[in-house]
Amino acid sequence: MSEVKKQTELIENSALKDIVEALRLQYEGYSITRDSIVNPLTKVVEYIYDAHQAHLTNKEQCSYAGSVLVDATLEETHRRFASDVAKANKVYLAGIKLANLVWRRLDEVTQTQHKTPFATLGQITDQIVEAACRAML
Amino acid sequence: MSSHVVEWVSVKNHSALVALTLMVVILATGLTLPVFGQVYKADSQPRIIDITAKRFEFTPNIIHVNAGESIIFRIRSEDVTHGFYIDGYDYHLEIPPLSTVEVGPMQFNELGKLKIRCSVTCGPIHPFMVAEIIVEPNYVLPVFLVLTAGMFGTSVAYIGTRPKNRMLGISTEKELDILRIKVIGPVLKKFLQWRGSNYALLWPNLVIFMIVFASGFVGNPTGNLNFSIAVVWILWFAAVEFMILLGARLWCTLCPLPAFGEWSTRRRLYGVHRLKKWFSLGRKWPKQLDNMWIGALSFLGISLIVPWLVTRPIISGLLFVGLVSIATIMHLVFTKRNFCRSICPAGAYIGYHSVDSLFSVRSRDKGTCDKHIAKECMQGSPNGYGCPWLLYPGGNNDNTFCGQCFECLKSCSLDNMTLKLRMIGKDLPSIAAKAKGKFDEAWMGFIRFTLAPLYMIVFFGPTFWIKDWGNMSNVYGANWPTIGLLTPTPNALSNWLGWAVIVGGLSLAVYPAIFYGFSWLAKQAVGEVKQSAKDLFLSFSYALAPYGMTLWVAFALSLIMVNWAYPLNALLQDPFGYGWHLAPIDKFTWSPLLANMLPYIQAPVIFIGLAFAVNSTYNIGMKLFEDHSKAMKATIVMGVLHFAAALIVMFILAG
Repeated sequence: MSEVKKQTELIENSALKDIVEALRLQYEGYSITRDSIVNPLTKVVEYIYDAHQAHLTNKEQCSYAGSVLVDATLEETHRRFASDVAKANKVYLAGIKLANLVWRRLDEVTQTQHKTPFATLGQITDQIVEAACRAML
Repeated sequence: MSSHVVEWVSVKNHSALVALTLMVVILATGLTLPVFGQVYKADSQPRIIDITAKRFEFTPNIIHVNAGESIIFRIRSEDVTHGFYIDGYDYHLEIPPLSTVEVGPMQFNELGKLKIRCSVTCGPIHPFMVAEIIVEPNYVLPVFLVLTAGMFGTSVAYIGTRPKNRMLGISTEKELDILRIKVIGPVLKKFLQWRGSNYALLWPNLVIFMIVFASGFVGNPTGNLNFSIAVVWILWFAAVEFMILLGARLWCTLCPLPAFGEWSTRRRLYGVHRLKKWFSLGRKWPKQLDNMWIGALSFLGISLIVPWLVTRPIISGLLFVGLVSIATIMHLVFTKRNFCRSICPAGAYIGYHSVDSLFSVRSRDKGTCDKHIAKECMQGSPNGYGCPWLLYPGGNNDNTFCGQCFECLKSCSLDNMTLKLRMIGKDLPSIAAKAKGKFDEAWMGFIRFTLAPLYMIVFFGPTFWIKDWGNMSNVYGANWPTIGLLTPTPNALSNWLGWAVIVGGLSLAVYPAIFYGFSWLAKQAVGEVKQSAKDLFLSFSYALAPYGMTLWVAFALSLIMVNWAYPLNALLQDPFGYGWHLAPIDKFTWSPLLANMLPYIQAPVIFIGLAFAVNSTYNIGMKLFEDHSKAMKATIVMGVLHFAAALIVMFILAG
């Protein structure tokens, strides 16, 4: 296995671990369904895809994507506000990690294929979401 | 709630209680002074006083009469139809062109100063065509002067009791979380967190602004008959002073000037744009300009043309078109509210005084904001934009640049932002202590503080030449088709330059120089401290924020109480001054409200301002020196200047 691939997997594993942990904390006391995992993660991935397509800056958009994840998870539990700053931070940071991961993948795809990475986006989403669902359900 | 109030106002020190009680007595005396009037016996032979009325002066402009003296006024109009109205005497006399009308015999039992006003629209400066009757013996002035001295003395006595973090007996440490008040809180919170709240507040105002533009260009050229003048320069100008006191930058919440730019930049009329992609060049506003200088100087600039601005619709129309254009262009270049922060003349003075407002938008718990990594109040969230005013709302302790757009209330996912009610002067000491280099805010204070009494003299004083210089001796109103009538003569221009030197010189140089002199004296009185005279000058200048605010409230009272009928008619009946009757009610007749009582209402407002200034200076001194005796000495020195300023205002009101 190449060094780059190893590193990418390591990051992906750590991002996934963080996402799962953050979602578990956020959904504490609420029932976790497939939708409550799929919807927030999909929202982040879609947001990053759109931002990437619009040639916006990575740092600012990934940071914002963290807030998108926080908001989406709150929405899944029918809340407007998070109750705990520590939990909100975890979800936010997990969102950033996820966003960065997607952004990097999209970068790779656009550099190598020179075409719309929509198909790849679907794969990324499926991979992440399925992995998260497997870990949480 | 009641326990809150007790906690806020509890005064444990007996001396402080005595001083505060005396202050209340002084205020009550000022307010009830007319009650002590008496009925004088009329003389048998009436005295005839000849008055000539011409645009826009009465001659003589100051008339002395004795209490009880029987007077017949014989008024002659030398040009157009004028009116003759004496405050507190409910009749309106009309003097046709080039004719003479007599009124009387009448006698004056109220001692002091009464205003004669023109009650028939005679041209653009008509609302400010004023003369004065001084009913002798004028006991009101010496009583006002004594009360001012009493207020200064009791204020100094009060701070002598070492009040810690208090403003006139009320704690500046306590705050009331408005959004947690039963019933009102949740409703208000729901409204403010609703994305449509800004639009609900803004849209009616936007419609009003459209009428302002239109009437400014094509409405009646005479100011008080035109929506753009009557609503903006009478209603708004007065209302905004009260808004600052009660709601800080509440006006900025409603202001439509930056709306077009903001909507264009966000590419959204409503809702949060899904992507953080602005329709803007996204340039950075130069750091050297990120202050109040341009706003302060543009406010002064507007004041240089104020006799035209508030009486000629076209000048107002052009000003607003200019401001909207600049705001829109600035949004398209610099993205956020740099126009509101640094350019807008109203924004500058509203922001300056807002530090002393009773209202603020703050975080509930700063620790939570510090721990919260996302800082959604700055970067935005799917529910709200990041602070358009470029602040970190979570850690903000200063109303100056908080535009109260309430985006932070919407974007915060922790529900940690709220509205707070607090005592005037809460943030002032800490802001003033960090004033190093903030000359812009100091000069904003000087400009505002100097212009308030100047406006009182120009608009409601009997001195004609100063109005005439500022007005460039022009007798015409103007809209777009008649703008040519405003072409000034060389002589009028040279007079205007004299006016500009007086207005600019007093606010930019004379008063700041006097203030520096007193700051230097304060430094000498205090002795060995690490702050220089310049530091004290900058820090103590913040005491002008509450003091200046009360001066402007006093001015606003005379503006609205005398001229309330003009904006109401423009709003409800005839926005363009074309003689319309839109509402199925009669037009309001111009009839000043309690005009003869005005000085007795204004004087106590100034007394409160003086007490605020003294207490604020002390609180700033305590923050700087952390030593009661030093703060006390500095306050007494600076207080003498504030006292002198109050005496001057008393002369304007009752002299």
